Amino acid sequence: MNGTSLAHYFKCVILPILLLFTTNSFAADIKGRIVDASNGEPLVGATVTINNKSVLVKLDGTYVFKNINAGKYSVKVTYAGFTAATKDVTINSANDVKVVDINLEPTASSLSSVTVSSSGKDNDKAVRRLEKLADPIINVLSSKNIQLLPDITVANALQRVSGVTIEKSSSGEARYPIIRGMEKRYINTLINGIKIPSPDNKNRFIPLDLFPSELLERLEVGKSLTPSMEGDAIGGTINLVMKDAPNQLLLQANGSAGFNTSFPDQKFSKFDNSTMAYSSPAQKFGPTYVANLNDLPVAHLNYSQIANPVNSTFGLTIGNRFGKTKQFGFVVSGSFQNIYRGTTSNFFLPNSQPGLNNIPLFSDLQLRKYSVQSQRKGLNAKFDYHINKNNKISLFNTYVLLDDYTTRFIWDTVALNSVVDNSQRSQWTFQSINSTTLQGEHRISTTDKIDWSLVNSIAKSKTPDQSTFTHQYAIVATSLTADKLQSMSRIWTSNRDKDQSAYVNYTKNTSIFSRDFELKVGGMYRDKNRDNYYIAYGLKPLLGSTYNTINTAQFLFNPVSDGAPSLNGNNYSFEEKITAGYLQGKWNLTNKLEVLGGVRAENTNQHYETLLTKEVQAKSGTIQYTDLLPSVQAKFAINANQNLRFSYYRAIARPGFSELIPDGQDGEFFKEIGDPLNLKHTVADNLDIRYELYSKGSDQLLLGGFYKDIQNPIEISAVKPQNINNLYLVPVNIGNAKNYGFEAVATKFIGSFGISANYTYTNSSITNDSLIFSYRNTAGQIVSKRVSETRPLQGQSNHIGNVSFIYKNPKIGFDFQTAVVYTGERISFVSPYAGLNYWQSPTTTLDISFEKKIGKHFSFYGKINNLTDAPLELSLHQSYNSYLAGSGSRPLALQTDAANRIIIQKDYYRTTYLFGFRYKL
Amino acid sequence: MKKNLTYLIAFLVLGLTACTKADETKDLWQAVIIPASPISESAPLSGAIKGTMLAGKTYTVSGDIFVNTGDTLIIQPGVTVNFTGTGGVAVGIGVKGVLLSLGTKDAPINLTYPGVTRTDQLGSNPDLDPALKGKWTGVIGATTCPLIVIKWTHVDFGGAAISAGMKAFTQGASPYSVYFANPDGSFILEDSWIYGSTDDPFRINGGKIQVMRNTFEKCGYTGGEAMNSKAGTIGDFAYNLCIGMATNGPKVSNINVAVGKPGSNVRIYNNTMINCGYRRSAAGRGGSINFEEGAGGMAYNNLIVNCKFGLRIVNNPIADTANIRYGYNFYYADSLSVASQFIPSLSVSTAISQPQETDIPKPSTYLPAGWKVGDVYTATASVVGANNPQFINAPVPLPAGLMLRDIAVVGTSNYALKPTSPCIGAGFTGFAPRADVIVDNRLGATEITGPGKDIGCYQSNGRGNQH
Repeated sequence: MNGTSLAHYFKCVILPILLLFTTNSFAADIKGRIVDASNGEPLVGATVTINNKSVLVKLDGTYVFKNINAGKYSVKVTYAGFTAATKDVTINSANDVKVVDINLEPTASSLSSVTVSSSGKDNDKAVRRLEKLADPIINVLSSKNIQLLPDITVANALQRVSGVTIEKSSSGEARYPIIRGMEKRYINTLINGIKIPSPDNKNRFIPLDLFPSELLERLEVGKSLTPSMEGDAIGGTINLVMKDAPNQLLLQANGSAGFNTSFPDQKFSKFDNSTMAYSSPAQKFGPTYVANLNDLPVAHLNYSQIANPVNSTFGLTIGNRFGKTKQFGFVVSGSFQNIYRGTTSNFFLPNSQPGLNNIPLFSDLQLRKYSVQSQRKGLNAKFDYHINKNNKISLFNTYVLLDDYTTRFIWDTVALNSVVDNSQRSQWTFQSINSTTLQGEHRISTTDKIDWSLVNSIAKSKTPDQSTFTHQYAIVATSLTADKLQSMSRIWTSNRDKDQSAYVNYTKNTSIFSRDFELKVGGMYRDKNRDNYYIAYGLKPLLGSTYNTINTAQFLFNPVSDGAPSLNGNNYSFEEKITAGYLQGKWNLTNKLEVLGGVRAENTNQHYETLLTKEVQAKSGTIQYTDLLPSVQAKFAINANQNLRFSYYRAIARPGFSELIPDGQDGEFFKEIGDPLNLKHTVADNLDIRYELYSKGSDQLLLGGFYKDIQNPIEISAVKPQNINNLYLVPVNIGNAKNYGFEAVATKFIGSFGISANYTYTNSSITNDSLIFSYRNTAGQIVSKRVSETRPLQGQSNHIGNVSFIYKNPKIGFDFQTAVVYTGERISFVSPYAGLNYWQSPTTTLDISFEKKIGKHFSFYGKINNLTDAPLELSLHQSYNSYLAGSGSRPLALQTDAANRIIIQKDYYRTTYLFGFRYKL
Repeated sequence: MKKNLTYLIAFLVLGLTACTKADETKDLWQAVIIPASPISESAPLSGAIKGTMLAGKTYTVSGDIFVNTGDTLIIQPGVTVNFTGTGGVAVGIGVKGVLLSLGTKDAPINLTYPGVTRTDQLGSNPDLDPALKGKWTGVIGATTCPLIVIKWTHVDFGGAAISAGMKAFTQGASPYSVYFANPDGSFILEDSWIYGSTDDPFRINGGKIQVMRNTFEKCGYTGGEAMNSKAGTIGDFAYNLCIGMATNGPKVSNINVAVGKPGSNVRIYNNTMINCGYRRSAAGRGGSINFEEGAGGMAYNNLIVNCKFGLRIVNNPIADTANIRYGYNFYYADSLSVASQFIPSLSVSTAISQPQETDIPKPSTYLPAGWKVGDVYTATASVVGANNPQFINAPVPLPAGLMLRDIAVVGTSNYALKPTSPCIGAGFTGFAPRADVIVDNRLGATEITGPGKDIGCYQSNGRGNQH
């Protein structure tokens, strides 16, 4: 649907019906609705004046003057950015009710209002409209909405969207979305509709904590695909729509400060990263260089303790249009966040192999304390040039950089040896994404349009000189024990992902059987080049040396050749060329039924080269496949306020880069390894049905159901290959999976109060028939066999719910929101042993935010996160009591449900407070 | 490949038949087996290799050598293989097929790194000891390797970092002088010497084993067992002399066993362990014999002198206690702290070893009243220095001025027993070896020696350790 017909449709169909709703008469009142003439959005907060009385427009766009005397009135509406308007009205009697609706014209008329994609204003009503008019099934958060949320990163904001849950990093930072039970690998991330590369060292998915949420104009979560969209989104698409050039001068600034209540109980441990060498000794001096201790200073393994670190955030947005016809526009927004987090985690590491009858054993009892300082910098810039009415060129650039300084202390009570291993790790990681897009839109004729994009993106991540050392002391000291120095490791990793892509779309509006028909053809090509570097140095303690401080600790390379470690398969380059073309048609079959259908073809051509030696199977390789991805989206307008949607589409998920490399990193507990020989990409058929009701203002009701049939889903499993005696974390295709469920979203505003709720039920199942079970055979020997087990997909919760209470009072300029998120139980780690998956317990988190206007330009705001200090809890679905009865078992703390579960991990992130001021011109 | 298999099966059948012993002694001409594909010593070796290294010759290895699946490498008596490497890069031998290193008492084989001066004087600094530096990689068996036989062979100075090419088929084995990992395969180490290593001199992740009459000296830098066996290792470990190991003599665990394979079960008998456990940096680790995580077996007739811990049955993760039998082990300590670990405790080393009244000295003579299994105790002082095993010539009791960790090689000592030794005739012979491998001069065990009546690896009847 193009902009003109859309606006027309809106004006002719929706507006009159909306106006009907507002006509009620009970007393001598003047009332009505004030909307933006260009798009029909309510102008919340506009000032309406009669004679010397004035009121503000409420959330649903209405205003009212009650109990007024008969006479002539002049109703005047003013609102920043709009031309003031006046209408005269006469009240004839005490019971007279006059409805005065006024449509305000924006002060600068803009070409951008022609298309849906750029007309998006940043309020709720506008996004409801986007949801309603979009071809695929989407949910949208507006920038106003985001601004008011308790969240400062995109990842955190996402959990407010229906059907979305959040996966946290080990330090408690929300990082990845899970959409309706489909984990991050099934989701793609776009900026302004363009796919971006990931700085992740292994995978494609984007760590969404990289993005400060204030750079966004809106956040779209797409749950179905049209042929014109990239096909690797079985779970959905996250589209970050960055701020667009405004129609007039825009200046916004904000700054805030706050703290996390982990401190001062737990002091923040800070290290000085100046002795972390940017390049490894092998990078500096060549691959055969044998490193010595001088190359590996330890100063950054000393920590200073800060009792009350202060979090701070700053943001600035400037935008304007200029030129004779206001043909040039720009917006630049910058964001800086400096956040300190503290996490305390208790973890009982299940032994890599359970005991008899799969009763778990615990080899290590760990207390972990994290101190994480995250410095997040974001810059979004957009320039556009309206050459003339039919041609527009824009250049936009998004740059985000995240520096994480992580100190990790582990006190690991090792059951086997009755010792405590105290490990200390300093890690500095910086990740960045820079994406530049040059985009053109050309209207060739009244019915023909071409748009194109040229994109250059680079995503980088580097962790230089990650340093870890351990010392060990006996739980019970004897004359034979001492605090002994153990090993030290120094690891350099980096990766760089460079995408160059081109997109072109041609749209033709015509008609078939005199019904409107939109034909769209297009294609894209992306050339991705990725490089990964990894080198690990392992040092041993000088024999028998005791630990005093790290500065006096004596290490050595033994054998000396350890000073020149060989580069393993984690050093690789990966090239991926995606070529895609599509053909789609949208046909208004009847006045009420619109059908969009078509097919997309995507060709994937991958080639990788590792530094593994020639003896290694699949050390390099080329993988090619082509997918045909049909899609049908039908929208039936029951009436002007109600839609019924049906959608079918086929989508794919490509394995991560590291998953196609026949080597991998030594993970925290198990070695990771890819499987280019057996791993296949995932293909899924997706069905969606949704009922939509849009009543006045921002109110809405969405009810939907979905069904996904997933062939070759990929899960990371701890795998124990036959005849190989170690456990590996391997990506595997475990047969086929089914995922179905339904979701409901409801938003209702009554005057200044609003409630917004969503609920998603998801059910998935997958059967793995190669799980290991250990038992004693009739000969009295302990042996194991393989058994089958059916379970939900990793990361899928049956129930996800989200309730927000909103109070918005434009009169006193006060907004308040409390948000509760419930996430049901889900599998967080898949075990190779029957009955021993790790389950993450249900969580309920409560966040609060508010904003109060002070004077004309300023407001004071606050964001309070995790008010109830909801812990992350992992457990095994096994009885703690029967575990304890087993031989060799040791009691474990934390247990609260001994009959049914063994709790193996509990992490606390505490409450975070942030208060600040915002300035708006 | 098929042909080779046929030969192999033929040999196996022959070997099995040979197992049935006759009473008569015969000295008959042995048929000469003409060496297949003799390997030339004139050029340095590197890459795939098969055939026969000819008796008495010296070979140099400049790059990793591999025995491919289906191939066999035979090393004849008296061969020296110098794993010299090139430009300081350590090399080794990777075995996907069959390796037969067939030395004899008169003409042992040397697998070594040339030109290293040994620093074996008592009390030498281990931080500078070339034995603990890993000069070459070692003998690394692949998960597909069906058979490695090492007889009368010196394996010295192994344990260097493993190359990426070798790592590819050993699934990331760390540096071990000898490594084997095939629960369906057989591994024979007889009458050989392993001197020096950086970690375990012999690591086995599953397999049928015969480890008999060997000498392990000064192995492991900050950790390392004479035999670290895991993951479905079954067989016998007997008549070995282990001296100055970083951690234990033998350790048996069933961690990471392959699905469907029987659990680890090793009969450990008639071994002598001298001063083990003192380079281990971890506190509660063992010092003589360990049974861990799901492992079973036996431990009888072992002579344990000045080792950091006695026999350790680990409680967590628990050993297969239902299938472990032990007793008749002989302990000697020169200090009270060592004697107080004859029976390791739960709190210091997670052990639940039961006292055995068949042990020497009897636990009831040195345990305090009221002691329970797993308790920490201080031994009765009179047990210190009591029951000297009376070696023919050895630093026992510990000479003044030396520390326990200073004794790490045999050197000029002789750990055979004087006729007056309390170990003579004190052993238990009421059990048999597991004998999981075939008996064959080339493709199996030369002799699976049953339990000996003298405690320790040297027997007054001349059987047992021949070194």
